[in-house]
Amino acid sequence: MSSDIKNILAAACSESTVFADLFCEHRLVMSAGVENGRLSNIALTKESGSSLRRFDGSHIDFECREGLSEGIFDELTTPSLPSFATLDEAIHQFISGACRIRYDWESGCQRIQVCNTTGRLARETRSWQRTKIIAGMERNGRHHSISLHTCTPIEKQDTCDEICSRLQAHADAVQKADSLPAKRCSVILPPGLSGVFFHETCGHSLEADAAGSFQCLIGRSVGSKLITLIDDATIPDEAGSIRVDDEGFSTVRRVLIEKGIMKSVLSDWHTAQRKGHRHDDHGNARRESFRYMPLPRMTNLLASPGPDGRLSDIVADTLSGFLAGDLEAGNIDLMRGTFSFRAAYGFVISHGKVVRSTGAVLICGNILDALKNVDRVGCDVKFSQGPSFCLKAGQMIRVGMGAPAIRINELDISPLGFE
Amino acid sequence: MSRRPGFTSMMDFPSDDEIESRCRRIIRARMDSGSDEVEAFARFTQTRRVTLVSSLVAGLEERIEMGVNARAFRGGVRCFQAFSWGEPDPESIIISARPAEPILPHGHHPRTPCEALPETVDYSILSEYLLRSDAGGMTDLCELAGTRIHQYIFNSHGLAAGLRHSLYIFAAQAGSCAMTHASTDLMGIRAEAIVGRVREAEQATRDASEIALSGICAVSPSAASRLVALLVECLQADHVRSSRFPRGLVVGEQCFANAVSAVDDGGKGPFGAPFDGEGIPTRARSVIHEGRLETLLFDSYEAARHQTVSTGNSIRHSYLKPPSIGSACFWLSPGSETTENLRDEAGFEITDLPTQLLWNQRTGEFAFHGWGWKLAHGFRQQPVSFLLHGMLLPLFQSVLACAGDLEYHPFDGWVGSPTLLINLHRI
Repeated sequence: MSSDIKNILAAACSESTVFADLFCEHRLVMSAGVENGRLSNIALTKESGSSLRRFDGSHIDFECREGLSEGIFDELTTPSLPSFATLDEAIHQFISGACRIRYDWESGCQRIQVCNTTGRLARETRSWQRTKIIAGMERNGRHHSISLHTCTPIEKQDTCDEICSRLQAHADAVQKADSLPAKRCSVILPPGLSGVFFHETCGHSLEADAAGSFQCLIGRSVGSKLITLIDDATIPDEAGSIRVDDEGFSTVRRVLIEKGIMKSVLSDWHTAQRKGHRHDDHGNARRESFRYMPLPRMTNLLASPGPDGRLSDIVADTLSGFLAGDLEAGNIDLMRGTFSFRAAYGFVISHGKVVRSTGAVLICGNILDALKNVDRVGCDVKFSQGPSFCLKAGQMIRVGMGAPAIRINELDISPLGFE
Repeated sequence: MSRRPGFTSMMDFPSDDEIESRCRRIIRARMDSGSDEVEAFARFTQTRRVTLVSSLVAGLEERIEMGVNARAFRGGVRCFQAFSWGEPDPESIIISARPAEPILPHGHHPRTPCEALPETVDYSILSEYLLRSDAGGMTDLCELAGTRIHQYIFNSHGLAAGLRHSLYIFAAQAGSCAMTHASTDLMGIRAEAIVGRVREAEQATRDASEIALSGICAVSPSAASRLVALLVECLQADHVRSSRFPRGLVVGEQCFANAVSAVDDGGKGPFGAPFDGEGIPTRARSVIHEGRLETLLFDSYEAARHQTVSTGNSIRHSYLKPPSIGSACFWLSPGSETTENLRDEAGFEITDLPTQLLWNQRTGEFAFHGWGWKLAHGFRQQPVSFLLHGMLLPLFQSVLACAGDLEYHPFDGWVGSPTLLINLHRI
């Protein structure tokens, strides 16, 4: 069967073809929604298809087709629906006043086979599971809606405990939340959330097809010496872990920023050739499905641990600042180098102590300034418990984001409305 | 031009009879498995895209999508299965729930699929047109995509509806400034005009000084359309149930300024069709009348949950996803003022809002980075850039007047707005 695919690719190429790849995919995804203990929807999608991409040095041809010949892939097994009862019971028991709980669960498996004109032929099976939990509750006469994500099986007691404690922390914060005046101050991001920050600000700026001038700084200092950033697809069982990229090349652990110095960028084969990068500077081609051309993307972006202890140590060391409790709706303008994040809630820090919680806050800044103003990096690296998905050019892929607690000075924060 | 692009052949889609027979078989299998109601949807699309970078053909793309899905209901539980046309029919999922009131619409259309638009376009015109327009040489990136769409809906109440449709989307980009235009008529895409606006934006944003926006502003149709697209999301009935609905939006009450009236018509524009994604006939419907919210947007499923009837707002983006609520064409009604009169009264003109920084559907909170002009007596003085941050509902409560220059822009559907005069002190 492998020779069939290679033959198809060979037949599709001409003398002018510099590079071509053939990507075949079979995917099965099952999802379900449970609302207030009752199944509200269930869905099963099954698709298969292939796409051929040819690059002749000046332009690209791309074709994709639904359907595959029989026997290219083994049949995928339909996953079974998990039991939501244990988690549901735990949430009701721990979170007083939780009035409406919804679970959106998804489990999927993707088999791919990709070959390219460098002679590579790779196969991989990738599977995932994720659950989104949305809890509605009344606090102080206001309706609050809290949502969180998990990629671990929800029947496990550990997962239930962790979800309950996160929901409880958020619920407590919104119950006592007060507004906050707009100001410029130090912002502390807890482990995991700081991963979201690095993903949106540095990660996207370092993708080889990114607009803006960030990548011109290769070999130069782009931030604090405390920052070391690595893209590592080889970590086992994380959201962005893959053995081969979607052009068929093996993935690697790539150091992007080392002690504040920019070392390399994230690239696919095509962009690396176009931009004249080193011949081995690729391995980050990713695509949502056979329907799309691959793009240079992150896999698991990790920030290395620093010398400043745990989150509590960084808080204790802060005279005045803001501790983000959650981070979402990140947005970055690569041309201007500016970013904004919404923290659904957070805490005011004064003289090394958390003095009160706040409602939603918009955190804004400039990427290079923010990276230079990182003055504390903790030792406790944690992967983000957020959605673990990244959207770029209409393509949604799974990514991991891991980092320790960090403190960034001189960021602008402004209050947003309560939910 | 270094190379003239061209596509070779048209994809043969399955025949109408073949599609109907398979959809009927899928419906029957699910009814036999105990579903109360079943709907089958088949979609076949062929999209071709030409990309020009600095006058050179940088890429040709062709995507074929051929698939079918089934939506089955029992007792309010929705079961959705989607699969490529080449895959065998999957087994039905058995839903154990009590029967409930019907959700899906009954037949409104003749059984024979209708041809809403003639399929007369030769796809070689697509690349010819882009090259002839010389749009590519004026910007960093130009794209012209043409999509041939055949879609069919059948349900267990006997409904059958079909559509054949062609859609063209033109996009141009220079720096961070981009603009997109959709059309059903290839010659209706005014590439030169769109590219001209992108170039103007690119030059203005380069020279713009950052300011804090305040006072009375004139908001151009393209910037206002972005805000109207957010309003359409707020008006979707499923957002009420999932609490993604800004407080203060109450049907039957005065929720917006008197100057604001809005109309939804799923039959209009390049994304329009004579029936929606569930086969309900589309028609023009007043959604906001002089500031009073008349209705939300419903599909059949949400209408059943709210004990009302569908407004024909079921949208299908692909066979892989169940239908969702949306609008194929939604616009703010034009007013009687001239654009010049509104500019005379404004201190700033908001020309475009290209970067969305924040959008929270639950609270209606938004933030955009945008650009425009400082105005003096209606004349443009200097380009400015700014952060526009506020709540959507107060924004539309602060509309002082609308001009008569209604323009449409493609967002999730086709969204239109005239120039608006807004008092930013109040948002």
